[in-house]
Amino acid sequence: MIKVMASVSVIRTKMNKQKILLNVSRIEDLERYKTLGIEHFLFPLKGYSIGYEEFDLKEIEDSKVKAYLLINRILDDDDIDRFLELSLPSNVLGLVIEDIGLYYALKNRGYKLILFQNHLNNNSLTINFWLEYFDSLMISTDITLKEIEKILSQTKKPLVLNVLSYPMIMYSRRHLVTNYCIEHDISEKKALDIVESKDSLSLKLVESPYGTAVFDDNLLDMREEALTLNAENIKFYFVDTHFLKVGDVISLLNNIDEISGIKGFLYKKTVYKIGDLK
Amino acid sequence: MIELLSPAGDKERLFFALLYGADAVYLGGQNFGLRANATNFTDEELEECVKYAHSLSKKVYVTVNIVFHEEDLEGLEEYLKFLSEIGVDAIIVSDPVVIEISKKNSYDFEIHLSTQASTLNSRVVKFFMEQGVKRVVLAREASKDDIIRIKKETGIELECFIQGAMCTSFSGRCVLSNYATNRDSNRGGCAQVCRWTFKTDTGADFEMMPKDLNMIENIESMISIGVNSFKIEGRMRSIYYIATVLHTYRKIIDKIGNNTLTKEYIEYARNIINRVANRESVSQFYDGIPGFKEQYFNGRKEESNQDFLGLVKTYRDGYIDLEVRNYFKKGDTVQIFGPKMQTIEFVIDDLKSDTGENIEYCNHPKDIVTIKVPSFCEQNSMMRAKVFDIFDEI
Repeated sequence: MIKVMASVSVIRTKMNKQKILLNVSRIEDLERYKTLGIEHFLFPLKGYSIGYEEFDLKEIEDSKVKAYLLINRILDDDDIDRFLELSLPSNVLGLVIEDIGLYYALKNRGYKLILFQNHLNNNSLTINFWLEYFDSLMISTDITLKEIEKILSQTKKPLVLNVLSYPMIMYSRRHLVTNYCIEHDISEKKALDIVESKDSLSLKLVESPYGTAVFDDNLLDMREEALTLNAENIKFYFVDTHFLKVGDVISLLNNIDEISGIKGFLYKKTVYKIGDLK
Repeated sequence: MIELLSPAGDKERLFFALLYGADAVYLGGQNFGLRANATNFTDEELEECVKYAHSLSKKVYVTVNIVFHEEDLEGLEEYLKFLSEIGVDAIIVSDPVVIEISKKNSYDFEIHLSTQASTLNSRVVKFFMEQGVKRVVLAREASKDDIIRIKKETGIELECFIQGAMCTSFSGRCVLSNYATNRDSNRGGCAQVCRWTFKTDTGADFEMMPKDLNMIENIESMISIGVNSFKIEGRMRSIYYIATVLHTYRKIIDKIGNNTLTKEYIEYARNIINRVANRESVSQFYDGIPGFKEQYFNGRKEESNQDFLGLVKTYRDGYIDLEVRNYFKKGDTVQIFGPKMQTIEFVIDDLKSDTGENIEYCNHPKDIVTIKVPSFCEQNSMMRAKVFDIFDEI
């Protein structure tokens, strides 16, 4: 069930479905998304991603869709060595990566590379630095709409805009769910929902052998704002189906219903000196 | 080169850090550092402290390691120019925009890649070496094997944390604070939300707070695999904490250098550090992924103590003038330690007020009292309550 957190707005979409990059959660949902007109799919790669349902290269090849691989783990050298031995299917168009070391190892191999370090690249100069090396970059979900507008107007390549997602807001190398279960003698789990005692923060934890991803339990919805931004500066509209049912995703993209999520920091600037808190 | 690197949250802490054995300090100016709510240093103080450190042949590194938003870029270039002009030895950065501006202007300082970059592999290091980075502060998640591989493949100067608080998350990959409090963790406003207690539907509260890092038993190993700089966390810690931790690690490093380090001394040093830190501490990721024993559950078991009794201001003819910090009384067994002196232990049997009257106890912080001591005590040595027997501190 999607939470209704913000004021509801009916959206008259003109979003180009062909420019959507959809993060896949279930292979069996692909046909329905393709029917909607979506052409580009992001597959979290088994063993190299954190927080999401994962897929192996055979599944990705068999899907026969235009595929990007999500490699959002911070990697060690052995991880990179193993990756370099993989033979990627011909339907893989590019990689969405977190680790600069993987870029360095792949830089002469001809892959399309998109940088996705969600919390780290929050201004146009930094993004332009990375665009010397990457084909595109996923815009942070931690910044305001005005900052996004400025970035899109000043960066030298089209960027990826996060339109719908439950944002990952922490990534730990620790096994936080397992440790909790052992400490409290609770049967083994790999996912857990937690709520801060004063209900100010609800989180979803997802654990894998490589660590724990923590997601905000509110759907970040930028559909309306996305339509106000210059589409020429946007390479992909990113839609993350994690925690969503296929029917909900399609409804949201068709704007059939009026369900809406939260706006995150789009209209709320963060501060960092306590004196600046209002 | 083996370097002991200390935090310095303000001028007083910097002074004690350099006095008690730090080879270099890291600190922040008024902006662009990840301790936005610490005292930090004004431009004038920065210039003064760089001169002071250099007069002792020691180094100053300045943190410029926030994740920059558009609005933060204003004034950055002027600030970097200023840091170059006053002669800081290095800046610690995570956002490549700082590297770009520094390279463009050929500023006269080294660039060290912050732990905020979460570096775990040699390829990242090679990328940033090509950008002009001279040193990498590795991710606190780096294992011994990661460090060995990175050193072997790159040869770069490596800096590793050895003591202090840990993030639950990879550094920089956490915005819990932004979501819970609107305070930006990547611009120095972290509210430490990972130390909060959460409810679940299992009936048991959820916590994810790690114990502190303590690498005392691994320093020799770290030196052998090529770590160059040993970094202590805690720019907002007390001068007693800084002095005790530096004094202890300095002796560990020096004992390794002259081949006199023993298991018994390591155990003694671990006790001293754990006592001053007031928290449990472990080696975290060095030998593998930490489990539930490396985390706190049911709250942090932190018991503050009043071990720090006073600061020695002067010594003359068998007596010290001591600036009081915590309660003590005649008959107490105490120890005095300092950067160059042998730690001494004695029972207080002669205690006078600043007017020369015999007194039985001290309970006013900042009072100056006179105490008879069995041997020489250097200025700015520290008196502590006896908790452990002194062990081979020479």
